[in-house]
Amino acid sequence: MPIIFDNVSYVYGEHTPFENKALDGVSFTIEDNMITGLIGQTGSGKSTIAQLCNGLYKPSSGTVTVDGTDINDKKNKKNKSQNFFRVGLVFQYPEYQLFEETVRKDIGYGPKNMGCSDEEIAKRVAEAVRFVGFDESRLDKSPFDLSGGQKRRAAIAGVIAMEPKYLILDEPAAGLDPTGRDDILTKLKQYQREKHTSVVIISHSMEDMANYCDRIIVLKKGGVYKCGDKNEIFSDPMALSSLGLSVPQITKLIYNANQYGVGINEPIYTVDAAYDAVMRLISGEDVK
Amino acid sequence: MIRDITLGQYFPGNSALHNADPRTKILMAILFIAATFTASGTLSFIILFLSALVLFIVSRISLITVLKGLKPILFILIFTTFFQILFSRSGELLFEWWIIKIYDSGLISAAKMIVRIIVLVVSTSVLLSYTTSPIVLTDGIEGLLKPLAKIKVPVHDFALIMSLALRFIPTLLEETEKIIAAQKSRGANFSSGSLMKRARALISIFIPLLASAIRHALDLSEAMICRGYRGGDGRTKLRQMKIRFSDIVWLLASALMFAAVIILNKYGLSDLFGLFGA
Amino acid sequence: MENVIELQNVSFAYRDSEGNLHPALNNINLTFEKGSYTAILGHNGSGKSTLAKLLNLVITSEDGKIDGSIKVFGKEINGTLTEDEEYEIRRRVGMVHQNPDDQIVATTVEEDVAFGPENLGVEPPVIRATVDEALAAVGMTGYEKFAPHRLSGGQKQRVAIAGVLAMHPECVIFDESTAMLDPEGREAVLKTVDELHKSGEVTVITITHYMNEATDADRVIVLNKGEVFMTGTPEEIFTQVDKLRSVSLGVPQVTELFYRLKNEGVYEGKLPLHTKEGALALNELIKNKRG
Repeated sequence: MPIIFDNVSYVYGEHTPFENKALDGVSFTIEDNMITGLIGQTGSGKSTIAQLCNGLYKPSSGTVTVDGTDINDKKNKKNKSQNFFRVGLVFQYPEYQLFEETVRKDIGYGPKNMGCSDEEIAKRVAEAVRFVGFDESRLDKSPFDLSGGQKRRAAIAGVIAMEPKYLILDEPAAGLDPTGRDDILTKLKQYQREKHTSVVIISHSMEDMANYCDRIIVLKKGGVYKCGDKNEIFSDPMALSSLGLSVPQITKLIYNANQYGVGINEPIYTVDAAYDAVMRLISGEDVK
Repeated sequence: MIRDITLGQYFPGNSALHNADPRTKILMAILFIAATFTASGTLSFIILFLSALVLFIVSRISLITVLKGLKPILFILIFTTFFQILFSRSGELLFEWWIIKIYDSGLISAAKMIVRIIVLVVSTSVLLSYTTSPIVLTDGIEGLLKPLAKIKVPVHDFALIMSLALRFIPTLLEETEKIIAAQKSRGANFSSGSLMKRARALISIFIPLLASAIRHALDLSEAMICRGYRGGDGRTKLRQMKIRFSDIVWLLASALMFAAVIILNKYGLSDLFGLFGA
Repeated sequence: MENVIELQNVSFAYRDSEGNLHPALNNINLTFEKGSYTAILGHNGSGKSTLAKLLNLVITSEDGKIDGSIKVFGKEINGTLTEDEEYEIRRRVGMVHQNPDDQIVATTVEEDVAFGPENLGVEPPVIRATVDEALAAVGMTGYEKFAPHRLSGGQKQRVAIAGVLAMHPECVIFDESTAMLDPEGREAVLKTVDELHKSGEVTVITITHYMNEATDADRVIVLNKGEVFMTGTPEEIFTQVDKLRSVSLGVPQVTELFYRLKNEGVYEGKLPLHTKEGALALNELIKNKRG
């Protein structure tokens, strides 16, 4: 079952001089068994949505429904921590939360809090480590002795080890170099395809969205701008650009070329798609 | 969000007190504190109260702000008043009901206590907090302690540490908030469970926070070296402190107030109410 | 052209706490001309940050073993320098770091920008003028009294740049200064870097792993495993797609498209780097093929 936001508003510092409406009557659905991209400018409410999904924040108004139950319903109070385990949340720069003596213990921290047995924890750690591509020989090292990329993997593994039904990641590739970036996002895609869970990736980058997400939710300050599959979302790249999002260079190229009358009418956001479109044009096939 | 708290409760403004030199305000605060502790006569208290009132009016800080500042000490105020009134057993009996006996001396000492506490809180917060930003206050402290640098007291270093702390408090608070949220999301429980469990949960905040503070410190020291920092010697400052005529007036007035409080105590003119009472 | 920085056979190895050496740079020979704009590309661990930090004495012989000759403004800095000489080098070669938060030392924007001039012992009225000028140069006029934590990442980074400019450096190194920013912040910082370069007074060195940020430079240097792997104009570098891929670096998407078209035999001509020239080339190509 999906995560459903129904007319959700969220106000920071309500009734203080710093009151700030982060979300204003937002409704959307995060579908099961796919990768959803949540894209928007800084301050558009992306991170707020993440924390509303697992119940860290309570909506000022409206409801957040996960697996058919309103997670903030008072009747479900007991299940509050259950919700943390059901909706795994990876924060931005998650390596800054590592704290145990060994990586193994740190990855096992979540499962331990869930009350898993030692064997179960060991099993989950092993699986999570495999998913994120963490070098197993380093499991007994201190997390503080790892390289940046390895720390990031360990931290993400710590949430995956809780085997959440939904996995939400806030900028999982921020600050990594291009190889590290592609690698971690590819690993997440493989994880989703293998576990058939629901994964949400929050990002500024349309390029990442285009390459890794199945469905995209575009936010603008306080609300949903557009929601749909890639082709729908990227059909008007310049409108997205005006929202302060980075448009892939290839998309800009095709946009500019079309201004000269090249006539590629389908939305292009990967080099592969651009290549195919150009080849079809050249070979005389018409492009839809 | 935590980051929105106002540090030190500074209210930007342009009043005569806002514009006074921080060193003047620190010295004034010291005089006010000394005066509140030395005052004993009723007349001295009246002068003290009026002086604090002047500070409040000149600062143009709203009454609500000042009252809010008194809120944390409301309990102490009520509690001491209550005791002073009920348990004083000298002077004239004004009121009696069941076992409750109220004497005039009880009322007077309660009033004095209230004035003492209020003047102490209002004068120091108006001078050092509401009208002075923490960083300017740091400058003031550094300026006043400067002579100590001659006897190798690292005054500049202390001031730098203070101002870096002020700079990084919001950053660290924000990070703390994030770490707490992240650990909660991994099932850390800070509010229930055994003491051991809760302590364990706190470690999950403390260690990342410490690591983060160290990371900031290392990066920052590198950045400071790149920007030519090499200690306090030969350093100039954008913000110049300047003692003006108005500062001298403020200092003289405060000194006069302190002197008046002491003199009026000494000459016993103070028991104004007592005179009428007897 | 006058050379601002000259490196001859420079090698560097970090010394760890046990005294063991870990090589980071190997036999680097490079020169940086006055007023030039150079981008240094490379992976994490390629040695690009190490190289930058050698140039302004953030890394010294205390941190490891430096071989070869590093001349900055004609002065050999691999050797014993007086403290004054060290600080003079650091003033003339300014550096903007990666994390905007860790560069801002003061509680207001103007005081932060003033930090450098204050350290140099500049007279207060002159500091005032310098601060105003530096803030104007990065487009942050009007933010003088702002507390840093109320600024966005991009704004903080521009304040950090102003803080470096206020020391009137002759060379500014940007050490992955956009890595932690959002697209908007990144664009604003890149625009500032570009303006700085165009002003012609400052030699600019940017260290990055974003290909698109290197295409505007006069020259690109690719580092790999501590060695200079490639050097040339952006056109020369990014058209060698296979060579870049061999060290798992990519090329701009536009270049990649034309590279594939060229391999397919449908495109002949030089590989474009930017969208504008790419769009023109694409238009030409389609027109010709349609006949």
